[in-house]
Amino acid sequence: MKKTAYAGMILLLTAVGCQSQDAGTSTETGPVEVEMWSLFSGGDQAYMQSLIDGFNESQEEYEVVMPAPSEAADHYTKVVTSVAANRGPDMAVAHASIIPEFYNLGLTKPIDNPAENAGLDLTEVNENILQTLKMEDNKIHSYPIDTHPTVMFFNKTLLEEAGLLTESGEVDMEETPEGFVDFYKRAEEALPDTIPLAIPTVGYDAFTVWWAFYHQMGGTDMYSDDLQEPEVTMDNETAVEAAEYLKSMFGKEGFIPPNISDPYEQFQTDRALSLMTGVWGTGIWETDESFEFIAQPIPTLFDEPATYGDSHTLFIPEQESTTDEKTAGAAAFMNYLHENQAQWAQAGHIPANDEVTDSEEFNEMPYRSDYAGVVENVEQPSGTIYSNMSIDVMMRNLDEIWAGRVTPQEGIENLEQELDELVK
Amino acid sequence: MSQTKNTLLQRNRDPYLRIKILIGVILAGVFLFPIIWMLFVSVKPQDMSITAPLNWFTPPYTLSNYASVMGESDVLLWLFNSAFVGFATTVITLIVTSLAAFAISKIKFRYRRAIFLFFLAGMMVPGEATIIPLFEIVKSMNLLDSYTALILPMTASPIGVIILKSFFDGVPDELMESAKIDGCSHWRLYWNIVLPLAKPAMAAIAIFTFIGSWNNFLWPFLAIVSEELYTLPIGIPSFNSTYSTTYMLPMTVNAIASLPVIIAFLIFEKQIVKGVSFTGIKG
Amino acid sequence: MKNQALRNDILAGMFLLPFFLIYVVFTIFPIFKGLQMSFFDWSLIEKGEFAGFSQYTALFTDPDFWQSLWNTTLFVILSTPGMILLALVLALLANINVGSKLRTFLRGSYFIPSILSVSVISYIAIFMLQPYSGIVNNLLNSFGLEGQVYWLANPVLAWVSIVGVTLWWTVGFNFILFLTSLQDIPDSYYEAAEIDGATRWQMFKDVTLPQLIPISRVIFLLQVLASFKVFAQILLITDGGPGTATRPLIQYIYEMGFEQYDLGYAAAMSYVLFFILLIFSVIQIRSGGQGRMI
Repeated sequence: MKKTAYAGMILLLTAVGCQSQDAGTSTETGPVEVEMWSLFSGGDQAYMQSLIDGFNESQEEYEVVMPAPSEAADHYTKVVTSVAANRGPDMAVAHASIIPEFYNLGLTKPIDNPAENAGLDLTEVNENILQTLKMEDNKIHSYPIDTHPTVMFFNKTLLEEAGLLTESGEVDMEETPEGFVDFYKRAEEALPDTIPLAIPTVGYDAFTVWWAFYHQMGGTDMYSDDLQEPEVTMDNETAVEAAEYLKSMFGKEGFIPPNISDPYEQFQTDRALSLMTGVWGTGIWETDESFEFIAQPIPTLFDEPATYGDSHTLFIPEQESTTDEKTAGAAAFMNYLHENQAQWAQAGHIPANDEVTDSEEFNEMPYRSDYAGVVENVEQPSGTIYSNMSIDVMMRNLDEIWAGRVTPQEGIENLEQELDELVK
Repeated sequence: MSQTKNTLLQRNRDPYLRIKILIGVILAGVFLFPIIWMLFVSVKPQDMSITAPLNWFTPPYTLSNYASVMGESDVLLWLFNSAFVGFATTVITLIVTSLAAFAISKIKFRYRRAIFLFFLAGMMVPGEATIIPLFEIVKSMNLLDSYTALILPMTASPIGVIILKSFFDGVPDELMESAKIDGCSHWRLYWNIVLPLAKPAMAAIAIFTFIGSWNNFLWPFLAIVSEELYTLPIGIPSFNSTYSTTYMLPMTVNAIASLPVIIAFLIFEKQIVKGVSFTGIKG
Repeated sequence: MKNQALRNDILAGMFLLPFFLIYVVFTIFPIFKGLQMSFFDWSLIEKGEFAGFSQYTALFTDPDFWQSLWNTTLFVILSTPGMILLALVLALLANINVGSKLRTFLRGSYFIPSILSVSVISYIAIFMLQPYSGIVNNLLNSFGLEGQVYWLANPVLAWVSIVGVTLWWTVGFNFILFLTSLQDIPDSYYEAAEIDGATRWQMFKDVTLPQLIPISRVIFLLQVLASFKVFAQILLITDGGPGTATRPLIQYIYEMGFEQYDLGYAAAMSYVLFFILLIFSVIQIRSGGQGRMI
């Protein structure tokens, strides 16, 4: 009696243990299943799904499947953990900034050969982006599908109402530090109940705006260009200056009210005049036909045009369970994406395939052409295994400044110190 | 007898009884309030915007949140996983700890004391502080991301062995001897005589093992990647973190996760309370 | 006779084997594995080169490590007194001798949050504490407090929230331990005191409290041990924020190991936690053991 119970228990355990192990292997007939994990939200995810559907219909050899996405931070942890456990996906979405780190962990498979076999011509990819994905071994470790810079969005109806449009329909703003502030003072007067500029005091958006100002002021890269042992090369003074300028916009004296909870929603429902965020905003708001907005590069308030940007890329994890067959399937999908990046651009992104960016199909799409030129001015954290982690460090320390818990001077000092600790 | 006497005595003499009851009941209200609030929110229509505190509790009510949560999330799967993992962990823990405790208590063998001390030492090993190497070990066994990973490492409970051993020690050796003379093997002794006598201790261990497994967060958080294997503590945040302003769906998921344990608690309250005071475990 | 001894050894071995294997592999071996890992560069993916003591020296100069260790300690300091005093008060309230229905109701009410999952209680807390729409601020506003309290955006309030939520969630365990001890005090003690003409306060001070001292010691040590392991509710409610103001040690270990993929460093920090907890465990076991059974 007891023995059977015990044996049954063991049997049950092995049975369920094996169950999850076997998931994902293909049957002998039918297409090879290629599992892809993503970090997209909302619109991006839907556009990617329709591309996957298109790929699956276009051929019969492979079938790409994409489970529900995770948030970026969780996504990366999940990918690395699962690859370590040899249960990872066959292909995963990752930002270009994290690829050096993944390469250093031995996580990424070079894609040059698979791409060639699949007929994917990597020379068509934007050279700047491609360079950031070429590692020490002189091989490309990830395939970029776009650039997504931070740009600026205005609610057109509200601009008109406030008389902040020029006769030719452009935003009536002088591109200087004072002109920018002056624009929002006028906006506040004309629309007292509207949030002039909706940037949350914590997180990504504020960081990217600071980053843009810093680089517009001529700020240098955070780290020297060394994969494993870079040095901190941040320009302290400029960083403080950029932080002070942005900080002055927050709070009572400024025009970014505290605790903005849902800027996208507030913008779309006419409660906020403008915001600065990633280009995916275009993909979200243009589906609302009654909503009129303007998308344009972040104004060049200082010496040179610059903005923050990163790229979505696809990489193939280095693990036993990703067979040559699955690798080939992943490359075939990359090739399909390469040819159909215009469709991906519907999500708002700027294609990484130069052929597509130059194509008529892309240039006829509204909004995108208004900011596609930004690609030349994108400053991207990359080149070292610490780039992605440094984004977290910067965000966290800048949040402290925006919340007023430290002065810009102190905040940047802490930031520099933490960047330094990171590489040690 | 003395209980009633004591009651009478205190009732007669305690001038603050009414105040004590009042405070006790108010505090009970404070403790129950968040749970009641959660249950009410889960039956509010999704598009309601609520400003006055009372509005959270007044009609209209709807059960549609439950339908949409079950459609949009895998909450029922997580519920099953939590229940299955909890059940399997409990059963295996009971089997292996009682076998080991029986050997230490009732079989005379070499190194008996040394082995008992070796088990006793395990009580001092804080699981949270060895979770990183545990992860590495389970990884190298190629068991990450499986039910086995969730269940097996949580079943070697030294406290269980120690509690059961002291219980088995109470079974008189004469009983054992006479059974042996009747031709009972040790296995039969274990199964037919000692185990039935240890039922209260087994129940206590079962309860704290199950509660521990049900609420375990850190280990599944590290060891599980696939959503099919999520337990409730891992699944709930993955669902709820996508909501920041609508209350109804997150609270519905919470309610679905909580109602079974609340009901189980109401049924087994006596045993659970006994189990807790018996073993002194911490959540 | 020798044969019999050998038979017993084998028999005992069979009874012990299942537990022994699981125990050695998953409880004992990790202690040594962790020590090994802390002396290597060890990524989430693979073992790297021998690193000597460099993980430990890095740890001593890492302000984030010290801050997170301090945060954990602060949590222990802030939560332990409340965890014990509130549990005692609740036990005294629930121990009044009136109808058993009321007693069961009180006992159940105080204990029931303890059985809820940490994820459930965390999300209840997050939503109740939200500015503008959360019911806590709603209530404060209807009591006449103007404006909004940002419970999770300010370090002090974030700690208040975390400690408060944890108190509500887990005080039930200590409460039950106190309650059982209270009920174990023999009635004859009170009767004797009564004959001596003791007042109620004297009875409480001279009979009840002294009888509760042993269990209080157990509860205190169990509480410190449990509080040092704080992680999940902070991760879920504040994610260690604002900034890193509430990030506890286990969260920092997690971030190093699983977000920065540095298991070697995470293992070294775990070892520090290991020794802190070990000290309290030893004290606890020497001073009377786990609960009432040992």
